[in-house]
Amino acid sequence: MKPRVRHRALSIRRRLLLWQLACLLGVSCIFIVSTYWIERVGIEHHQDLRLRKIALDIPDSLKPDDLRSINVKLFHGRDDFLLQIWQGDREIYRSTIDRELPRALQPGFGLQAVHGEVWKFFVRQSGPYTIQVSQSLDERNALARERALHLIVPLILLIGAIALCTPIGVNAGLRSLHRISSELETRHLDRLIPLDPHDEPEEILPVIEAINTLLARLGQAAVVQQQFLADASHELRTPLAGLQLQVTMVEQAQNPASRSEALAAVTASVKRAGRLVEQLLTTSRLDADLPVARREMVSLNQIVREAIMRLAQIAEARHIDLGLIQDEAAWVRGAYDELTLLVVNLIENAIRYTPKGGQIDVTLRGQGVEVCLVIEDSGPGIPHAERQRAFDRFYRGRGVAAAGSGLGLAIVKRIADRHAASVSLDDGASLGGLRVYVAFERHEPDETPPCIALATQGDASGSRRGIVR
Amino acid sequence: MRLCLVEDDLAIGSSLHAGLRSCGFTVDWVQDGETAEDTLRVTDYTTVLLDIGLPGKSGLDVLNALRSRGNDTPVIILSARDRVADRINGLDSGADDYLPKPFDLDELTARIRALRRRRGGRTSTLMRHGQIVFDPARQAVSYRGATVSLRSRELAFLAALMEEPGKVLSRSQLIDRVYGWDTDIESNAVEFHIHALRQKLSAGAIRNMRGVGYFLADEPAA
Ligand SMILES: Nc1ncnc2c1ncn2[C@@H]1O[C@H](COP(=O)(O)OP(=O)(O)OP(=O)(O)O)[C@@H](O)[C@H]1O
Ligand SMILES: [Mg+2]
Repeated sequence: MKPRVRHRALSIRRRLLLWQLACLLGVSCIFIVSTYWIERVGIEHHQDLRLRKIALDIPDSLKPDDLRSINVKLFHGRDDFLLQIWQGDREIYRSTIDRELPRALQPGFGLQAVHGEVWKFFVRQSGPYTIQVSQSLDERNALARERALHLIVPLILLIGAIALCTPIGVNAGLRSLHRISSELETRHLDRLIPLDPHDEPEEILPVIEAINTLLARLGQAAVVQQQFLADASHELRTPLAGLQLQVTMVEQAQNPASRSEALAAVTASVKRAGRLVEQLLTTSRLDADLPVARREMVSLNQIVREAIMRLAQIAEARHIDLGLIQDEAAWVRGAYDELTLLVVNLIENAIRYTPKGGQIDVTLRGQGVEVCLVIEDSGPGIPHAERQRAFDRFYRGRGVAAAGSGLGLAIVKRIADRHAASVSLDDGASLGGLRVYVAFERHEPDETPPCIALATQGDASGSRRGIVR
Repeated sequence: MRLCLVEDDLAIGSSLHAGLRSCGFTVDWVQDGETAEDTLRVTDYTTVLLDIGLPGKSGLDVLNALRSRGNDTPVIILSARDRVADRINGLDSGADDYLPKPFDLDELTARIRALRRRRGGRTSTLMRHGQIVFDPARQAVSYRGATVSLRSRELAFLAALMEEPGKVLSRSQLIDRVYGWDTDIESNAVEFHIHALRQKLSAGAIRNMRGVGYFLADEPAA
């Protein structure tokens, strides 16, 4: 754990340093180049003035003998120009022996190239003399370069200083991260104490806050998870315990009759355990994928019809009159399978808890912006005080002999939540049992698929028991 | 031995009920906490088998109420909650044993017998009184060294008398310990079975204290 943390910190430091140096180098180059060009422009102007001044400084009353003294005066400055004087067509003076330029044609400034070298010159006519002062452009460039390069040394020093100081600063900044990470290492699922934000830099505070929020959520999730695991294992062990005992009874059975009776009990237990496992898997699947998988336009009418058809036989066997009494077009957005599960669980409950010969009414209504599904039965209902708990996992009503696992309504609630629907339990007004009320957001289908015709057919025929009978 | 089984799960309850009965126990089965409490208040049981997760009153509530009345009937908790904390909680509430579900029927009966043994301060698995040796595990009896074959009711009467040797048990106490709720008792059942026992053991093995009840004679061991 430790080395990885260190490596990551180092890489931040290195990255920061690299970026800083790259930026500095880039800026330095731009700085040097632009300095060169600015200098170059300045030098151009300055040197032009100088050339002209040299030319003008030569007095009109020049005698060839004066040339020596002029020399001395002129060479006081830099030896970076060439002075030539012609008397008529004859060159009478040149400041250096090794170089020579042809005489320019007109007075004033001009450029000429000789042997690939470009010269800037100034020509003045003074009586019989032609005075020409020239300077190689290379010379000027060299001058500008020299000035620009003088900047390099301080820049290098600056870069070096920054390179040295950055790690120190970054280290100080990273110390908070080190502290957070070493503190986080001491946290585990049953010890999720929030981090202490004292004295941390402003930039780190949001991180600490976010981590603390996460820790709190994680803690809650862990508690829920542990509770669920404990409950689930409890619920799974119960049918297993029954099975183990029932198998013993099969082994001990004295005659074929008691043997087949014991075997029937085993089969029932296996079925029950299978159903429980199915329910548990559904629960955990619903918990795992957060958003509804495929949000499509589905017709609740079709779902309810299919659910009723599926459960009709069980209802029939218990002499329960199950029917769809109102069937208004009900389109919702959601996952078909999940909504089927919701409807089946609710109708199944109604069938299971309603005594023989009872009645169950299913209603689908559109009310303004809502679509509501109402399932009402003539059973015992759920006492007022227990209605909220009925949605808890593994909650089972008192005195119910039915072999449910108590997950049905929890699954219903979860699916409703995932579809932004609300579920409520209250007293059935007409049948006296439980009334389950599920309200969905209403949607209009984009186009009218063929099944809408089927969905409204029950209404049209006006028969109350259109489906079951 | 008459047991009280408190269990809400139908599958477990019915097979335990049948299984324990076939092992020679008398079993009363109740399915919720309130009924359990009422039953335990009026009937004396050899051992109580108690589930924790019951509808209404939980098993622990039943246990607490039982102990706070000063009733020290041995209690074995049968629960699918098997975390250490659950066991500690159960035992600290006054249970004598904690058997996590799922369990084996034989293990349960062995534990019931072990608990009886401990309660009686015995270390041997056999119960002895005078010339009578009773093996609860095998439901076998020998008298004066010879094996005696007894019917299950006769065994139950003998076991009841051997629980507290020398103590006089009234007719109704005997009936309480031998018969569960679900049996019709004939008016002369006690006399009938005691008579049979006397015939198979010896006439003097079981004494009658007129108007009070029956007890085992203090015969010197062989
Ligand atoms: N229509 C109903 N009428 C009366 N009681 C009901 C009804 N529906 C649910 N209940 C009560 O609510 C409890 C919880 O129901 P839920 O569907 O969650 O679990 P279950 O039916 O016991 O088991 P399963 O997970 O197999 O559905 C039931 O035990 C029952 O007591
Ligand atoms: Mg259900």
